[in-house]
Amino acid sequence: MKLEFKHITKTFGNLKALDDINLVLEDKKIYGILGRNGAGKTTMMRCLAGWIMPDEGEILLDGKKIYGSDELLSKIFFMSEAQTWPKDMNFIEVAKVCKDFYPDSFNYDIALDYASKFNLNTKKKLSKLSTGYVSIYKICLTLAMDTDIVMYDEPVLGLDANHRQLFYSLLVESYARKMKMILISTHLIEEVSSLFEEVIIIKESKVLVYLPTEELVGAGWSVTGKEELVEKFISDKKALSSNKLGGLMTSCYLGKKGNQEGLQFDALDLQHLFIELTNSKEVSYEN
Amino acid sequence: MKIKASLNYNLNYTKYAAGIYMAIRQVIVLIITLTFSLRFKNEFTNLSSSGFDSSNIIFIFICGLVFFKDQFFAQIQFGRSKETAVVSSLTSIAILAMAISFVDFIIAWFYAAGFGGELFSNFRSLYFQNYSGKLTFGVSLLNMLWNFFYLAFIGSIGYLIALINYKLPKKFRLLVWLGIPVLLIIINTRLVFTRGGLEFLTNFYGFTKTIFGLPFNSAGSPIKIYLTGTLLFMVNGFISLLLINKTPIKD
Repeated sequence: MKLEFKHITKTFGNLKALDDINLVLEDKKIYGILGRNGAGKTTMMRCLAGWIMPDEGEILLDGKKIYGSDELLSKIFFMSEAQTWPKDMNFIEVAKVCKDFYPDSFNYDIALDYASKFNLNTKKKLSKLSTGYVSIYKICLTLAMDTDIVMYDEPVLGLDANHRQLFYSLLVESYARKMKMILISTHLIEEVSSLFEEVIIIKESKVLVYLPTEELVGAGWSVTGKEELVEKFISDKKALSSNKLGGLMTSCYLGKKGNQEGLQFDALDLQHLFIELTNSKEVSYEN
Repeated sequence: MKIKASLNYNLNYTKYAAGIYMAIRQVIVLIITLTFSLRFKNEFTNLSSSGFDSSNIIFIFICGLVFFKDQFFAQIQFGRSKETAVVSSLTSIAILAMAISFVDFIIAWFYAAGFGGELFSNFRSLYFQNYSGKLTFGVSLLNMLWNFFYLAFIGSIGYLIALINYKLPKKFRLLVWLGIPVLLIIINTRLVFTRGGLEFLTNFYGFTKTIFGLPFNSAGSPIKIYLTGTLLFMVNGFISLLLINKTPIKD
């Protein structure tokens, strides 16, 4: 399976939501799509789901255009925040509808099983559920979906810590049941980073980073020590940020771990690295 | 185009609303029948059913509006392209129009067969008011087709209005919600009432007569409205497809 984004550009009025996005996703892995609010994550997912027609470029699945193709769109399921779900139906009714639309990909019994694990009232209409249970309602249906591509846009919105933990474990279970390309957009990076096999960071409508998680996490470091030593060390590095306290200085940079005496080096975790990369105005990351 | 599941969804979603609507309407008919029977006994033989035809028009128009709202977005959610969602919604509207017309046909024929006694022997639907004629099986079929084409066209207008409304910026929406219904009321007024109605619209009447081919109590063929209804339904569908292509799905 090969998913290609070719020069995707989308503008809403004066706002450029996506600016020449080029990506090739080839493996059935769990991808994290990260970006600050308004970066273009949701727009990118909506383009992939066929909800938005790009102004320029095209999205191809195995070489065929996705937009307007029922055949290809039925291989994709998108758990969105939008009000596209049938709000006057209860969970059981919607699960039956899912089975009708996705006869080969949707697991009805598994969806009901997941709903019971989350203690979801399956006879309550979507419009009557609380914010957290609206997310759970969508999560249970999406986790039971075995389409080639499954996308989650802010899946844990309004969920408490216990439910979030349950979601992550069921996500792994769902992935193990059938290997598929899973794209997750979330702001809770720390919680879910261990699940990501590859990470796509979008900054100001462009793809800033697209790397395997392991490679990305090893690319960012913080160095702490005396001010003059740290300044000397980072002078030839791609510095992301610096903080001074007394005579001590901490700098975050992109590059390899140093081994200078008098300096302490710590690897930046994914969330920390994300914050540094997306905060810095001028930073560019060369894959 | 994967349309089967979409049609199932649309029709399942609407069947209860349509069933309740038809049931309420028939209860009203029954109450009126009984009331008039008791009051006028056999003297009353000309109960017009045009009010029920008008209620069909309002119902299918609302269905058209709703079909763009809930059903359209659900189909998008469940992996159908926007084009398929539009085509399946319009097909569902046509099926619904046919179902309503068929039920009316059965009811009309039920009365014609004598079950309504003298009371409904002169069943005055819009069709009969426009084309006259005697209530026979063949004429009832023509009546059913007349209802179908007309209702399908009205439903497609509702759908198109909802789509235009969705696309427009908020400040222009008032124009849609006031302008188009007013226009429709004017057109429908001319379709429902005869010349004795709104005389100040005489010029407009000429226009609608040309457009719709409806002869209003004059001799003419109902085939004109079949063709006009089909054509306008297709035009509305085509405009809907053109408009939907670049319409983004909003929150």
